[in-house]
Amino acid sequence: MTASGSSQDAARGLPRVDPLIHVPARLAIVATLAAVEEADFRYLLRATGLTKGNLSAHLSKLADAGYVHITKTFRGKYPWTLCRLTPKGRAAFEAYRQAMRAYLDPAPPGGAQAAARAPDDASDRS
Amino acid sequence: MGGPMAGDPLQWAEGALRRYWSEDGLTDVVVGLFLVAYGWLFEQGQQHDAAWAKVLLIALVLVVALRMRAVIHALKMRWVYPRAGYARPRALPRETRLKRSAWVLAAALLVVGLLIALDLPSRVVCGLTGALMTFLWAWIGWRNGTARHFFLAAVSGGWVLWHLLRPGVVCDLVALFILTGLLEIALGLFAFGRFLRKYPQAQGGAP
Repeated sequence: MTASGSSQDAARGLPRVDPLIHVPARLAIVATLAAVEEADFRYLLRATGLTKGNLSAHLSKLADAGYVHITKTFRGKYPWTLCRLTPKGRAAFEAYRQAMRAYLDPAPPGGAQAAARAPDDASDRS
Repeated sequence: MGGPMAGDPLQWAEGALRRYWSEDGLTDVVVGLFLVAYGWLFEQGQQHDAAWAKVLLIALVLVVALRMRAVIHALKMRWVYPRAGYARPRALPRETRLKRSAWVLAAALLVVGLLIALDLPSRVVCGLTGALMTFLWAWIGWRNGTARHFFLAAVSGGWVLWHLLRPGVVCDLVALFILTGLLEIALGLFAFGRFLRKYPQAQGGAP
């Protein structure tokens, strides 16, 4: 999604979401990691249904963005890849969820507008 | 169930984790062993007034309360994670854990206090405990999407109804613990066998 695409989305009333997370494969990875403290590559493969190459590529993108921390270690004589969401990644995922929730379940008429007006109303009164 | 785009992605991932956690059946084997041991020790303590049984009963409850998660984790590290992947569930914040533990303790004390204060007949106590067990099995089955827990709920509920509705039949809680414990071990082992067939030992270890 480009910057012009984002502004077009905003003009259409669509939520402006993090394009890095909005891709279904990466959303599955980030959501899976958000539900756990840490998970290994094999669990992510099973949970997301991605292929090894696909998962590896998406994990690299998320790691480059600082959303996922990857630790490569050994268990016995076998390599073991552990992944965990960083605080930055967790915050980005939470922002994504809130944006999508606000878009899909808009507050009843009056509710959100009233909430948005509240600070102004308060300043008017003061 | 849809993918992460179908609803709240976090709920989707948490549901997948819960199903994964219960899929291998090892937790059921451990809980089943606990129920059988608890029932047997309770019986020894009641019928033969054995002091060692009462001490072991308290020790068993403490071990389960403090170390059960670690025991299950160790078993999964050996049998489950190398096959199907490792995931460590998120630890709840310390404050939430303390609050939850306090609620459970308060509820348990309240129930025990009420049972003592009201001096209810043993049939009523048996019925209430059986109903609680039935509810817990059904809740676990609903939460994890596991048919075996619904089966245990049906057995537990049927057993209690059978004993309560037939006059003259003694409602024996120890028998209920041992029966459901043995069933849970059997169902857990069955689930574990199916898990081992579904996820054969990976060649070359974890990627």
